[in-house]
Amino acid sequence: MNLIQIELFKLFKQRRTFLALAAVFIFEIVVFVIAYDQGANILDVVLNTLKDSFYLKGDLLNGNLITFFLVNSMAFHLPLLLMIIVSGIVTLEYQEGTIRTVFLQPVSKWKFLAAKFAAAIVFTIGVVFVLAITAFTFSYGLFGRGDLVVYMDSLNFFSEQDAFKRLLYSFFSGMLTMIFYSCLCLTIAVFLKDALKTWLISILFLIITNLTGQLQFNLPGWDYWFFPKLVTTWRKFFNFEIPWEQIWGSHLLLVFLTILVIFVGMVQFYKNDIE
Amino acid sequence: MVLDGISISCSKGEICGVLGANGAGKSTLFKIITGLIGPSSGSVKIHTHSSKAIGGIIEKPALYPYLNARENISVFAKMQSLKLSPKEIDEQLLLVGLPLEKNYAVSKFSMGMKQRLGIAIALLNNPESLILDEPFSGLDPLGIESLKGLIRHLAHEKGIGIFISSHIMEHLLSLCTKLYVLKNGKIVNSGAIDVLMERHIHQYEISGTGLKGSKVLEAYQVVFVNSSALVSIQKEQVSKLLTDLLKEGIQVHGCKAVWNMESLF
Repeated sequence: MNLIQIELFKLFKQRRTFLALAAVFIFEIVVFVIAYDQGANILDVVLNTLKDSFYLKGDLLNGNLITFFLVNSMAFHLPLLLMIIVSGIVTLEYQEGTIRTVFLQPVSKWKFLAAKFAAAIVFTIGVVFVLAITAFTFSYGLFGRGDLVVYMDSLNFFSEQDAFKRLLYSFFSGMLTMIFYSCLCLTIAVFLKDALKTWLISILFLIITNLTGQLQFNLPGWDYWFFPKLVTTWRKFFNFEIPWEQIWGSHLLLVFLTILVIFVGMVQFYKNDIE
Repeated sequence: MVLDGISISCSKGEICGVLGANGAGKSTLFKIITGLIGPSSGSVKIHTHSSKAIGGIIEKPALYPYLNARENISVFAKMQSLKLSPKEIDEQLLLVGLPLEKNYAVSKFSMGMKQRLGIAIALLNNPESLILDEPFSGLDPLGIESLKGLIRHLAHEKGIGIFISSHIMEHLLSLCTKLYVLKNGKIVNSGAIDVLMERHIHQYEISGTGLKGSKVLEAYQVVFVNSSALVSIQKEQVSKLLTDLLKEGIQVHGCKAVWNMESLF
């Protein structure tokens, strides 16, 4: 516990941590401003054909839709920021040489890195919580509540209460994905020991995952087992019928992959000499 | 192979030096002793009951630059399950001569202050010995003298055995009682400084006025460099030579032993 507290203390003593958190807020503000300025027009274009056949009652540009936009930041923006901050937990130790000072003290290598993984997970959970709370608070405060309309292969309409539940589930599901990304970039950092190289490889991984996640093949288990689909499981909460079985399977697989990534990182770190 | 057949020792309260050119293997040797890297063959055995047998600074004092001195000490203490009170942290700072009022981040510290803080951290958990790798690099002359004073204090007053590496001989001569000379990963010379001086000093640099016209110096093998004379002479003959020069009316300003680096290395 002591080592985890130390890692979190060090993390929050660095300006870059707060800059990254500020970037999350700035992203939220940008979404709010765009939604306020352009949201109604975009919705009109999307729903224009439907308006000929259906009577749409109420304001669809509401807090639930804005929160849905913010949930979507878990596809790229949030993991990108998290990877930049979290990789520093390891790369800065190599960059500043403090890793030498640490292991000139009677400190276990296993415990030291395990604490770093634990701190990264705690930090990631915290960031997703902050994103969720601020997203709901400001979206509902500024745009009010209402039914949610989203396009997932087809246009799906959800009632106000149902939308809130689905958004909440998707934040929890996305949290698992963010934890995976954080642990992955920490392991990459253990291998590369360099901030820039770690960022580049992590970003490349994120881009490839996002691009290949768009691929659709009619293969059995494609949506179930294909890795880039696993990390976007949170999107499945906006299918008209929530595929619970598929979601649980994907989550379990993602947790297993996260543990595997941590294990690989730990073994490599133990093998690394401290130069 | 970076190191081969190395055997070195340092007793309690003793200051031992490891002299070697850049790339001789000094840092590698210290990293193996402290367990930072593993030897490709052989083993390092440290006979101690203490949880931290050796403290040290390898290459440079590496500290968390965004934390202040107290926070750095506190973080490194907690890592090894030491619970230091604010008073104990202040005592640790005072032990290495760091002022208590400097509360800014370590990134703004001078190299001398970083060295002192590095030593304070190395001393946490009361190690029996200390390893300081090139502790004088990056320090100004005042900082060097001040750090030498601290090292002497830790060895003589606290009884800590200290290994210091350097590629500058003068630094080691003014501190150490024993010297190991490392070349290409091997100890090529070792022993008490006095014994090494007997073996490897055969010249003395005498500075003064009127040395070039001295009749006394004609009896010796001499090379003149500016106002100095480089005299090849045995240690026992130095007093007589200086007395003779003074009697001759030569104003002698200084006399310095010159090590024969070729025989030492």
